[in-house]
Amino acid sequence: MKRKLLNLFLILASAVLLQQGIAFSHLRFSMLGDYSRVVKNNDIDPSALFYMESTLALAAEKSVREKLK
Amino acid sequence: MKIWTEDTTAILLAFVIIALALAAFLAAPFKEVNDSLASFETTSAFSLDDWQDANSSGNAFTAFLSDTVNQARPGRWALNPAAAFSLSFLVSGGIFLVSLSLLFAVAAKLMQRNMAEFLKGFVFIFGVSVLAYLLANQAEFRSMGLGYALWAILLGLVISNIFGIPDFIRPALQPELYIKTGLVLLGAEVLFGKILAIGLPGIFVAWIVTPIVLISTFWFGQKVLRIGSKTLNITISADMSVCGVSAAIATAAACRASKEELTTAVGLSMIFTSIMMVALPAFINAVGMPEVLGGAWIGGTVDATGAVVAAGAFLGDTALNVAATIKMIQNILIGVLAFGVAAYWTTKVDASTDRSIGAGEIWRRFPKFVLGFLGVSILFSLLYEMLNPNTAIVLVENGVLDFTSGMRGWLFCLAFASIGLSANFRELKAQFHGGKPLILYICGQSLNLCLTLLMAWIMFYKVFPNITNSL
Repeated sequence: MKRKLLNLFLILASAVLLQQGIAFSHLRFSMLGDYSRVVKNNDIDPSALFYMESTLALAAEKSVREKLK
Repeated sequence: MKIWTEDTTAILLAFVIIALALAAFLAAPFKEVNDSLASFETTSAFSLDDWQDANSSGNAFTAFLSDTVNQARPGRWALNPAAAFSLSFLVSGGIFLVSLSLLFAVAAKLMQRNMAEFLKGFVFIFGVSVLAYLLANQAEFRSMGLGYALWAILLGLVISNIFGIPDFIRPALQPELYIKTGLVLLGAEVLFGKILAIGLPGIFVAWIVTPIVLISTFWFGQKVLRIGSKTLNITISADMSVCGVSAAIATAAACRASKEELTTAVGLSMIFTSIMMVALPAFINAVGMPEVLGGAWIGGTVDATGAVVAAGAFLGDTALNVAATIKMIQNILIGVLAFGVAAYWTTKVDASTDRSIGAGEIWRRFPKFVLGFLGVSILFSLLYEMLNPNTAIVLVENGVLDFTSGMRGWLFCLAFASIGLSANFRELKAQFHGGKPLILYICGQSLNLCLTLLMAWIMFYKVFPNITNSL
């Protein structure tokens, strides 16, 4: 049981470390910081799997069709 | 012969969900929506968004279905996970859990399994899926594209490998049933009319380069790398060349890849997508590549749609529009991919050990859910094309498909949680023996990057410069 709890603690710590690492890299590296701002300002979900999950992707298609009319 | 197999049950479940969505669609004041849109379209200041704001998308029942599915997920949060749980989450989550449990309990009964035992395990898997959505909605994880698929697998692996899973969960560990039901629902989003969105350049970049890369990578994996498992090879090749996780799921189900093979492909795709969605736009900016070319390059090479949108937005509006449209056209390829892989596996790979195989046997071995997937895709493609474009957007895209895509997301999440709960680290580690999957992904992606850039340049700058100028 002790070992299981230790493993669980290590996994939770890894998740927190990953989150903090991403936050730190956004501050430390300007390229990642800029990227993060673009994602936040446009309310993008970079994990969307298919175009129907992304309102920006649907809007992009409409914009392209409009321009090519 | 058993009628209610995993495939037929998946088709039935998906059709029940689609029938519910279509009932809402038919119950909508269709004529009123159509007439109202038609009269508004004639005004010079017509805006579809304004019309939708004023008419709440035309259907309260469709909105209720979509809201229930979408609000059943925890909300976004940054530091305090409790901020993700609102009252609407508790209400919608409760309604959704009860409805989904009942639907799958009936499916379990059809498949001659114990309903009560299934329900107990299902509630646990649903809980793991909620946790996966919670982690995916954390601000930093979300910004890097670490979505629910990754967290569902990881949470499942942690639970099963550290604590072990109690026996009551096992009856509900049905990853293939959840995946196949989700894939038949995905068929509704594969609208073939969309492949013409950006004209011929889009078809060349997304529908000519992609199959070349897919077949070349598969050949490379078999002949050069000599990867032991053909199913692992084709799943990684499809996931890298087509559209990431969704293509991996469709391919793995069509060729009956193991859950460890699907997990390997999904893991590789998520890691490389996170890297490419930041590195590729930075490189494009650094070399001063034009936005249309950069957008087409991103759309054809970065795996996940969301990552393509993020990378395109980094370059500018034109790049975003081109990238997202190319990726959407590539998304539609998933229908052809699933059918092609299923047909090739049934007639060539599986049959290679038995030369006397007949048409009846080929039919028996063919994964039937692929037919459900294609049938739904054709049905919705026709429906979408028959309607007035704005009516199609309001009633199909923002109505029916908003609900079915939310349901499909939940089903994939349940599938990945089940995969994580039933896999073990040792078997997963064995997949990476010799680093071959990693080499396959890197080599395939390198070819993809070169060919897509070349084709995009030829199409958008040499053959169809007028299209590029219009964008």
